[in-house]
Amino acid sequence: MSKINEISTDNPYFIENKKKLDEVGSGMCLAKWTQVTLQLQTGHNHSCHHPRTHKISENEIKRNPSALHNTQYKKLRRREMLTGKRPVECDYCWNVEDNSDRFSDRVFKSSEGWSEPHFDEIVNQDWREDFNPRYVEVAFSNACNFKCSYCGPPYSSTWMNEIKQHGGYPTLDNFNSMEGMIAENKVPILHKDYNPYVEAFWKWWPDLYRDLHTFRITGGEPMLAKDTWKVLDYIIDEPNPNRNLNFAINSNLGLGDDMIDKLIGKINKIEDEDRVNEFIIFTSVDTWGEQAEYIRNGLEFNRIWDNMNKVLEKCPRVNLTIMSTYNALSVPNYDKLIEGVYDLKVKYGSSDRYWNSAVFLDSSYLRYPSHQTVQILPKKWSNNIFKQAQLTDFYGTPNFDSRKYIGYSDIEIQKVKRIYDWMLSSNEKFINKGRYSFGKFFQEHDKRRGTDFCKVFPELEDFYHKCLSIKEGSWL
Amino acid sequence: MSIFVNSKNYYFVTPNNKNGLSSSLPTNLHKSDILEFICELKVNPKEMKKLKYPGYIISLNGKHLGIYTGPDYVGSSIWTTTGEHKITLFPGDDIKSKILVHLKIDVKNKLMELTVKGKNSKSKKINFDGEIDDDYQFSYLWIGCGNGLDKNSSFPLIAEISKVKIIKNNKTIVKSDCKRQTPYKVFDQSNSGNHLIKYDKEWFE
Repeated sequence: MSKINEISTDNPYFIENKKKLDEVGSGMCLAKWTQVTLQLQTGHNHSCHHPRTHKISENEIKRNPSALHNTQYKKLRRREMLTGKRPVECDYCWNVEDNSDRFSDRVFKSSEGWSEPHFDEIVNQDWREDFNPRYVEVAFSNACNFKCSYCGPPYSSTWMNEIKQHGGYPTLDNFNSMEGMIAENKVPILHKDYNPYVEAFWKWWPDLYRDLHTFRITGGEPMLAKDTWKVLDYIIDEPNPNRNLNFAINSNLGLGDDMIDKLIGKINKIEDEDRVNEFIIFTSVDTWGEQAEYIRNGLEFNRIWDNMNKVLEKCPRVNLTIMSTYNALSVPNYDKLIEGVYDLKVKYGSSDRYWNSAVFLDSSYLRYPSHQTVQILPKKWSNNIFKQAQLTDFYGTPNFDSRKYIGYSDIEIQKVKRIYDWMLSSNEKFINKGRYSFGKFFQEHDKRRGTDFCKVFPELEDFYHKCLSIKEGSWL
Repeated sequence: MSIFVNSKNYYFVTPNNKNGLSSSLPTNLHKSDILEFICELKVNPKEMKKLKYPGYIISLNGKHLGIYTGPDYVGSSIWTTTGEHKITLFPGDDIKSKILVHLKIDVKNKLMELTVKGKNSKSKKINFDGEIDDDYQFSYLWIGCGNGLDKNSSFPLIAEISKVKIIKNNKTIVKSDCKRQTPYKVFDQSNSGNHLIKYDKEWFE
């Protein structure tokens, strides 16, 4: 309560919601009920994004498929929340609340349209009760044609194959080793094999679908999972569709024409019959051209750019969000991506779309693996990031919501600026360890994948060689 | 490429740092030791003749500080504790072609110099007394008018602007050849992030 006075200048809606949550308990957060990410390929989930994932019990889902979300483990955390305790796994928010006057995500997530309307129902029901989440993200399998440098076997079958063949990378943390996955119980079930979690999902789905506010399919590459197509067909064939549903698919769009055309056909059917409230495709690219191809192994830049254009052209209502995982290798050429995305905004922006701006560039900085973050680069590179933020600002609009304006929103601008701020907050103590692993990782990467770091990143060649010259333990 | 300014189209550089992206904000310009406004433009004397007042090329609003032009003259003005100090130059036929207007205010030594470069060059330097009015703390820097937020003191310019440069204490904080534009902004090449913003009331909502 004392914090409320200190942050009284903030939005009164959040102040009121924080007060309501705190009256239940200082650790109360509706997202523990309303939001879930399901990683069906490993049988893990978490509510919300911040706590570590936990394993779903196969026995529980046999009896009750909604235990994909309503696990016994999670119900105990809910009990803590309802009885004034702060679950330890939610320390991300406690750190924010205890060390600043700012609201933590528990306030924001509990205030969302998919959370706040359910406050009374949640606080009045027994902690043992099941609750259908309103915001669901699901990965059906790890089948993926890419092996992005910062990704790993739980989310990519091609990564899995490489690790099975060559083992983990010779970084300080033995990046992506099988041992790590086994320790975390995250060895993925092959997509061709029987998966009890996917089976439980389909048992639960007809009931879940009715209640959903937002549903987002991730992966792996979801287009390679037959269950993704099954969901699309379900929405198309359902006689009484959930028209309030905000539907999204993450796709790398590194797919052949036949699959893209098939996807466009399904989207058009859903759009034409108003079967969802909005349809957004999330895709990923972290910089421009050949450098983007190096970061996301398997990516053919021209193909994904053509596919983005194709989707935007053929699907006049759909929106595209580019999730950019801004990492050390993004820095030299990210300005070209900013320009390219602006061109797409100009070309395809329309008030016919679910959102006027056809494309949204969501730039988030990579935090893990730490050896590939921008923080390991020499400080001079921060100037490039600052200039990129200035460039995004140049392409900014006075009012992103207005139909007549096309360009970058303040959020998109601030997210690039945030990368600069984060780079400057680096801890010198860890930099040399990161640089050591950076050198080792990309040396091994080139060896295994037949790539050539120095040819693709001439701007970083000196830095790379300096990283390779760091002796293990020299930071002690 | 250039920008056309008139009573409906004019530009400003914001004095606040909304996204933290200006590395040299154009604030407290009146407190700098040396301040320079430079602009390359082609005035439309025929249209300017129809206006009651001169049009500001570059201005800090308040008791407007800056450079302006009429159909046949170019001037500069500053206000100090002793009143207004002005320079007026008559460039002759040069006003019909592209001219470069350069105002340099040496605040420390109380000197103001105005130069107009065309086929011929004209220049005048004056001393002023008093201290520059402390009226500009929240002023916007306007290009193509005197004050876009107040109709009574807007003093629009009708011209084609092809270069803009603002220098504060020998550091260029705004520089543009007006070639790189969006419908809403003109790119600042000084690396300060002070892009020229085309006035639209929605920027202020």
